[in-house]
Amino acid sequence: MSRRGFSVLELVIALSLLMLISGVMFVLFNTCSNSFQLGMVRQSLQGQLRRISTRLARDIRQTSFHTLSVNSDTVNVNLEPGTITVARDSICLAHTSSYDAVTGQPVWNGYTVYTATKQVPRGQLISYDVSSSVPMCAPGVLQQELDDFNNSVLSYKMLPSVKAQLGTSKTWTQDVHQFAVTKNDADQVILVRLGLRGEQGHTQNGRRSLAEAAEVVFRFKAENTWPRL
Amino acid sequence: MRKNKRALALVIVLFSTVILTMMVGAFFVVNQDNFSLGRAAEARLEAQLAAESGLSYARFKLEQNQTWGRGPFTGYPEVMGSLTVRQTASGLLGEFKDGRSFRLTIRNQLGQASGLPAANGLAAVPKDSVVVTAWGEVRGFQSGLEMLMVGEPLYDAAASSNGMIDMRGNKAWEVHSRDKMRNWVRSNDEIHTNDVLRAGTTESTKFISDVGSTIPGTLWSKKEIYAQDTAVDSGNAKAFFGSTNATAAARSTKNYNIYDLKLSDLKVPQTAAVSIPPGRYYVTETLATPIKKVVTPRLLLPPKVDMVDQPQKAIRAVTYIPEGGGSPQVFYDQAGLNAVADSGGVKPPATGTMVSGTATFAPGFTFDFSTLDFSMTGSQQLEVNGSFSVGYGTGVDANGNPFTPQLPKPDTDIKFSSSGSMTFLNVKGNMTVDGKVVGHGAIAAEKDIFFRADADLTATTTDPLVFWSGGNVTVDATGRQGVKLTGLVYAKNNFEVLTTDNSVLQEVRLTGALVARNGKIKMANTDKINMTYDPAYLDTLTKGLPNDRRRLAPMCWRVL
Repeated sequence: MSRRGFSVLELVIALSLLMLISGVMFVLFNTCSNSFQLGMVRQSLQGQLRRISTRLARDIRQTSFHTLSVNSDTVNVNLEPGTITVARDSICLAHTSSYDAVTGQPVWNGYTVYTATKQVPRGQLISYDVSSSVPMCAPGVLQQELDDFNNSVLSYKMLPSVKAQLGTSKTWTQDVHQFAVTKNDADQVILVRLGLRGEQGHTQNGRRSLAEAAEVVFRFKAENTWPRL
Repeated sequence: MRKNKRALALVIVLFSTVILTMMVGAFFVVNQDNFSLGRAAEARLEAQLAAESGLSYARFKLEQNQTWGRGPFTGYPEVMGSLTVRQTASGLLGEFKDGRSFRLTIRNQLGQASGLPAANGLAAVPKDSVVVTAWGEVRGFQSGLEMLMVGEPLYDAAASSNGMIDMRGNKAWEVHSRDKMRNWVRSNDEIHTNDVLRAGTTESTKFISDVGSTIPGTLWSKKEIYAQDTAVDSGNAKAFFGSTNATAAARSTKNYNIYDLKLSDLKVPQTAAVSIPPGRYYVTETLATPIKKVVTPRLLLPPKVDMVDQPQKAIRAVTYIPEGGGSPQVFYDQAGLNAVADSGGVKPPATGTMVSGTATFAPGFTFDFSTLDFSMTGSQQLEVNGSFSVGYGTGVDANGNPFTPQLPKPDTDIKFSSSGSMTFLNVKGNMTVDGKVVGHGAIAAEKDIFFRADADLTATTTDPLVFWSGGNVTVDATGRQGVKLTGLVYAKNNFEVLTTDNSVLQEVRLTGALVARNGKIKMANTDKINMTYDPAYLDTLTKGLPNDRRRLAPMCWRVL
């Protein structure tokens, strides 16, 4: 019984097969890894959306339709290829934690600003809670938006914002793709479109290559609107 | 060799199993927080929804009976499908079959002149309001909500309609409000203002607060809002607002349910109804025969006296024609008869009853021959069990043939008391007045109401109704000056002011609230239309319908 080694041909074939299998394994692993990462990004976006929507729902439902004002803004986002214009709005709404013991009307004891900053491709969604004795609930006085917000909305978008000094601020997400808010006077409802975008991997020129987007549209009724249509 | 291969296979299988187990384990470890957060968020949301179910339940109960929850609860436990509500020491506990539940605390001061002070960690309750606190509980998560509710006005706009509101062709339309919070016009169909957006227009629409409110007006519609026939949209909304001081809230998807007002909802004079026979009450003429005394002197004999009938003369009469046929009843005035008497006197009309100044058809319903007005007086309810019509008609001779009128045509007006008592006319059919309706009163007709313009009818805030129609309310303004109605005007179908000859009406002034529930509101050819929403005329209705029913609206809602 003689023991002979592998021939060159056998080795070449074996090594070729090994390389092929390794290559396939690498591609598979890379794909799975990217998918896993994207899955994590997706989960993160969904978690953020859940968190933001819970807070937005609470704040907007507790305000009055007449106290909520919107300042519209947009940014151009280069998506390679193509550029799209997306909304980066800001909203300001009065908040309440009690009602007047005589009239029963909500006591507006502060306001909250939600603003989406203008960085591209992804901005931040920041809220500013400001305690303020807002004299907007007296019967017959229009519960209009704060002048401060109307006149200097951009300063809420600048980072660091000087407006943050007015109260407590909180960054809800750094993945804002778009934040569009519209008021529907006929239904007295507020429509909020919030899109988040997460990215994974890089292109040759350094940009993230794989993107995952999550978007929700809320239709909020401001429960403390009085009188309501 | 075979054993070695089997062992190798076992090792590979075990290795794969371990790897897979580790991957699954890692997946769960990595996502555990997410799963927990997701479950918690879901449970919290369900708890809030359970609390909202509790609020809805309480609101439903309170709208049925505004005294609910003020005293001890009765009739519990109550089972409604999968929900069972039972009484507890502090309030009510609602339990769904799937384990979700809510707890309710009700502090009810609806209809009360005083509120409740803060106590036991609960905020004060203002007078004439109710505060409901609801805690929802799902899988150990709790969510609390609190809602303060107040009575909702039965109607909340100067004009409300399920059909089109058409104000085209009027020179000026002013919508005033005596409510600090609202100045609205509402339609579940289209709204057409006059031509306020046309360059150089002389027409105007203005929303004005009579109580110094800074809140602008609102034209609310489920369909389009037009300035004449130009749709108000985002392109011209600003110009429209600048011109009218009103927001055009068009194309709403909300359902605005205009309350279907029933006569039984109204507080009418509680005295027993006096019945007026149904039919037509017409101011007419009738013919009397003057008698001339002709004295012929005779020689040596006493003069001959002849009583010679003269040509017949018309005297004023009032005729009642019963509904459904029957003999007309004619009344004429003794003074009128005497006025046409000649030297020999006068022969009364062939038919009819002579009265002295006033014809009385029912206690409180009379015709005055000196003013030629019908009168409705007394704080009472006059009921007509059929149709009721007041107007002018030509007279008929002894053979029943109409004759050419000899007297000027009068306005056949209905005059209610000028002040003080308020008379309620309740007609079970159509109501037609060919003249003015003035004074202090209310008219209800199960079918249509039709009258000529120059009306001036006023209700009181305690008896707020001025018109209630189960059909249409139509004002014929042809050749007239103005219409003034103060109080609640309710038409089940249409409310319309029209002219048949394109003449221009000077003014329509409606104070209170105008409702055309199933129909449209249409006015045209008027120099000035003044609509004023005055909640004072609705307070009585808003503060409690019969059987303590009440429409409620949330004023303050907050998360606890």
